[in-house]
Amino acid sequence: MAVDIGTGLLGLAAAIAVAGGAIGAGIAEKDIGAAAIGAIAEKEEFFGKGLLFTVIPETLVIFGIVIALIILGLAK
Amino acid sequence: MLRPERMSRATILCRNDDAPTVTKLLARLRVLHIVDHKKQTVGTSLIDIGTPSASAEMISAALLTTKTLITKLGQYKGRQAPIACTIIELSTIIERVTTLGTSYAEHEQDISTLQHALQKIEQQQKILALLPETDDPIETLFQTKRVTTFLIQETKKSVKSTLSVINALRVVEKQTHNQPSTVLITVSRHAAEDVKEMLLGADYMMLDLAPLSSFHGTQHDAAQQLNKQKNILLHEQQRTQNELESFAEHLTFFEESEPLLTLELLKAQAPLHFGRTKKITLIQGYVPEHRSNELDAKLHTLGKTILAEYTVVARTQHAPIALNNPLFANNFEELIRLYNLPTYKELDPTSLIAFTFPLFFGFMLGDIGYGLCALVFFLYVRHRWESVKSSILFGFFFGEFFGFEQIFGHHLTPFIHRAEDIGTMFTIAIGAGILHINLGFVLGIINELEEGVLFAFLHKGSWILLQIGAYLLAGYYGLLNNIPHIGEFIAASPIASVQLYTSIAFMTAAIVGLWFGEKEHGILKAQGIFEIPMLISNTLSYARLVAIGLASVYLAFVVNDLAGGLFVKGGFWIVLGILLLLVGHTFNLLLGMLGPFLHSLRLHYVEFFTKFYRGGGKQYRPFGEVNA
Repeated sequence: MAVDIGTGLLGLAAAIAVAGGAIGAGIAEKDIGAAAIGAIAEKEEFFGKGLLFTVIPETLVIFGIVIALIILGLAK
Repeated sequence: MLRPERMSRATILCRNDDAPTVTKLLARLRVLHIVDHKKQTVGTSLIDIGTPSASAEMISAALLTTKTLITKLGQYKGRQAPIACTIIELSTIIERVTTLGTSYAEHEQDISTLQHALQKIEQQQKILALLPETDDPIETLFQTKRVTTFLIQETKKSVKSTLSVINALRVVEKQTHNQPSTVLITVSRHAAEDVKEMLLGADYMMLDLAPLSSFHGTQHDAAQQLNKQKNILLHEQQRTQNELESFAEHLTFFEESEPLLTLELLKAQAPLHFGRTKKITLIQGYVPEHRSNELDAKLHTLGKTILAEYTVVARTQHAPIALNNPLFANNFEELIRLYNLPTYKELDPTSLIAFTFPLFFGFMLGDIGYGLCALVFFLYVRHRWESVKSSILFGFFFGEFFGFEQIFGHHLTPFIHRAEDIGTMFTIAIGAGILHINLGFVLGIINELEEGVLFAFLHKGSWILLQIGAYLLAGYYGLLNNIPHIGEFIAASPIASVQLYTSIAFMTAAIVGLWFGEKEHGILKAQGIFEIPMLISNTLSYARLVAIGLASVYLAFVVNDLAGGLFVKGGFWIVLGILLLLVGHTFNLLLGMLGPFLHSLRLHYVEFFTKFYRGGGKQYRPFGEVNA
């Protein structure tokens, strides 16, 4: 499947959008997750709040996907 | 349904003599959430805190023994046939627990003593093994009036030449393969100190002969004696250990006694929560309003000297929380507890979650095959499975069975092809998000009505107004016309013909409302305005409903494609293909259960709850509930 350079670049841009979001979310969740596990180990009742705080940065990936889909939309 | 159970504040007064009977009744009814009394003076009389009953200490000790033995005997569970028990009398339980507890402790002590004795023998055997062989009796090795004997062991740094310069009466060396050699040196007593210093200076290690001081006779005799003693002790240790393990036959008795003792201790210590004067006992607490009549009737059967008064607690006040939901929503109470219980004045969103949680879960994991597998799994572990049902329903909606568009040869016709019609999927997801968030704001208005209608509408209603303004603005610029399926409808609707200034007026009014709806002062009054971008991110966050689902669909496609390629090759490859299907779909199913669960939960906790829910209520724990 041969594509022109413009479409290829758009595909690359979409990939960067998702990858950037995923890396950002990973970095943020690393610290939050560690702190949350520490808190849960001390007091099990923190599970709900710990989970809540840990998944907050995941929205970054979703934004990445939204941007990627918009970019891919341009390729059509 | 949307509020926690309505509570009545109960105040019970009785004579001190009647207090144990009342306590017993309350423990049996399990209806009153007792509030701790605080020492106070009313008029001239002091209402002090009550004192626990005399039996409390005894029950407490028995309970401690019971809990300890349940833990300790748990390791021997199954090794002994349990003895069935039918004990009702508290005194019998305490007596038996005490007897068994004492006997168990004695056995433990015996084992500990035997272990110490065995350790001592092993130490003696170790030194005896290091001792160079001589024909002299062991007792001659110890310091006499004339001579002193040292047992030394060579180290890597030892200066061996030192041994030849020592003026020793006797030097016997023991060479052992793989072990540093040991030397027995006998010197005259007056030279002993100097020799000791020389040996230490030459980096030899001094070994203590003292553990052998109790022996007489040759080394061979001593070794035989030690072996004999060790065998006797090992036999005794095994016998005691067997006896100790046989206590496990009483495990059922201990396990059945534990809740009984806990309840009795609760009753015995109950006066610590009561107020008490010289003659009167005061008990205060909360009872669900619909059960206050039952409590009152039962209290009156105890006699006319007991007075009880009940006041319904207004929603503006505080009271312990008993969630009150219909049967279909009961399983979702766990999700509320995981976050935080609502306060008495707040709405309890459990019934709404019981509807929206499975909806989101199913939207993400919409596959008949995965839904059925998860259903079997959840039925097996007897866990809640409401969400899985919606997964199967959405499976029909999306026409998917393990990623295929057919089920046992029958073609499935999807209402929406979610892998291809992504635009429609996003429209539905974001639309659901807008509805969900605004439902949150409406609940927020209801929650805050107590604090003033104007405040509630400014603080929460402004957000709804802001969104209306924003959508009108988007409609004015034609941004909504590109939305799949509904774009044309919007373009033809009155929304598109609304003038620019109308939408701006809405948004300006909303921003002003957010400013005045904030109770803080100074710059903090702009808190709501700063949070406007958060509303956009909250709404977009619902795009995850599509993203998580798509990830699952594509993974299923990949597994099916790879396995299909193997099936075409035929022969052994078919077995490999089946294996790939099993492993791949199991993995995808596990991810598919975890991801949608977490993300559905997050959409509720972060996007939905932040619009109206604070939580922080205290759980209603009726007196007499042992596991409460």
